[in-house]
Amino acid sequence: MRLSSRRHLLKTMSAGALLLAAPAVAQGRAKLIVIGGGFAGASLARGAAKGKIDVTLIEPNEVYIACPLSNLVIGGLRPLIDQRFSYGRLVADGVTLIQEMAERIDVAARQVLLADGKALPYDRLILAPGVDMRFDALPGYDEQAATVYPHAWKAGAQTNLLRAQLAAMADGGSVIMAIPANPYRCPPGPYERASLIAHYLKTHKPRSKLILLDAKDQFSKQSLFLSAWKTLYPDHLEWVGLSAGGKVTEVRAVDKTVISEFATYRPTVANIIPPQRAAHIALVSGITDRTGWCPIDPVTFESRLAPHVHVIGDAAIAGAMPKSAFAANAQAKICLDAVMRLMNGEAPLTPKLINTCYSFLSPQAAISVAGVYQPANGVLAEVPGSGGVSASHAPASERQAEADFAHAWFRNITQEAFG
Amino acid sequence: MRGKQARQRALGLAVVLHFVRTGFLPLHAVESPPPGALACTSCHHLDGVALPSLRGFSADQIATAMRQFRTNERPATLMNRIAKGFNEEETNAIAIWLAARRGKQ
Repeated sequence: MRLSSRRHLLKTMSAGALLLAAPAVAQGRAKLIVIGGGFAGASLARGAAKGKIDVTLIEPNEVYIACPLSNLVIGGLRPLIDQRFSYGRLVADGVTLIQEMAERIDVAARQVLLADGKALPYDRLILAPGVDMRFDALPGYDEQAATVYPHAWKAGAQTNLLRAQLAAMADGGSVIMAIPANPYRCPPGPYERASLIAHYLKTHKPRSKLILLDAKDQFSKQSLFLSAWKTLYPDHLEWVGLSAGGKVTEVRAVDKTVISEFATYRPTVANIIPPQRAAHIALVSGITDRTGWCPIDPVTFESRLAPHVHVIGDAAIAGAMPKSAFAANAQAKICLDAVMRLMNGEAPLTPKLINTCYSFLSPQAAISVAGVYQPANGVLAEVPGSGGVSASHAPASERQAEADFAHAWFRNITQEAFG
Repeated sequence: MRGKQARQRALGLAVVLHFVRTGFLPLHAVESPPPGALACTSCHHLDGVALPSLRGFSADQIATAMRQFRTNERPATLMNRIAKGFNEEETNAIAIWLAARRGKQ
């Protein structure tokens, strides 16, 4: 080969390399929008920005208040301020933050419609809106009733309200917690909360008692919780399952009455956790199915109902994966990789995902559930032989180690998601 | 003349594509981590100190630990349950990726 043609070839090569080096996503031509700045949305937006991808996050709140560890706040063991995270780090990393409410998605026009009337076009949309409480599912339990009987299932003012009610309750008062049927955000969450409320009662109001009214007979980490309650809180916690009449059928906040299939209660404090569904925007944009949640492809998290919209976090139907912060963060990373590949004209890879959820039994003891997931028959399924819960007869030192890990996990995942 | 240029361009692009495929040129496609790897950092920040950090661990050390967790040779509160979700090949790919990724978070 003559020198001149080699030179020409090199020139051509570098031009070609440049073309290949600049996928549409990295050049900022493709528009990636994320709706919702929770564990799913913040993780994805920050990951995209760190990967030099042009990304816009739509989130109306200035501060995110995290749910994991918020049961410690309700138990009087942690200040709510430690649950607060700003979006400053995301912006510094290059995320364009729009502090508006996204009202609706025009799937056909590929636009997000904001509360202020603006329309934002996208090439790919990540929908991570979280859950809404269903105020139409439990007779008598609406938004007004939630100011009397808090759900505290979104961290913030509701968390403070329940904490304040427990703190103001006289010794000898009774506490009711209503727990919904599956699926809902954070499957072991009610039972961790029950443990920490019982711990508070035992420590500060020993003549008081907590009764759990449950709309199901089986729950996450059940045998570990039941055995711990027997040892730790025999006089302060009672669980009433579905078959014992535990399902709450009506709430009368004005009369301070909670009615189950079996009995009528007049509690001093009641924590009503109602059934839930994907947040409003998913519903009004036609991205939910008749269950109220969002069906997705398990490889890309792309909506089964809306092309170019990917749903991650609690709003998605993620098969065997629970609705947890860990799962939301893991889904964000997989979804971002799939979206980058799709935008770059490459086939998405078959993912493997992990979930871990710690639950406190007391300030010094925690248990965990873990799982590994992969797509199988169109859904995310557990990898056979993997996962499971903590050992049933572990020494106190092991429960203490898991409590320490729970705190460390929270520090780590919030640092990864929010900086 | 135009035809010659077009041929040369096509040749150049073919060479580039060949080098990309063989890994001779820096990979410009999306560099996807091996399946499962991305979930590790939710607990194990690679440069931080929260939870057992993977700072300073070689790929070999990570793969060995995962293998021992999988077979219950190494005591664990939780990692034995996670490690059983990955076979030898997947575990090795994750270990190599994690060890190479340190300092890049």
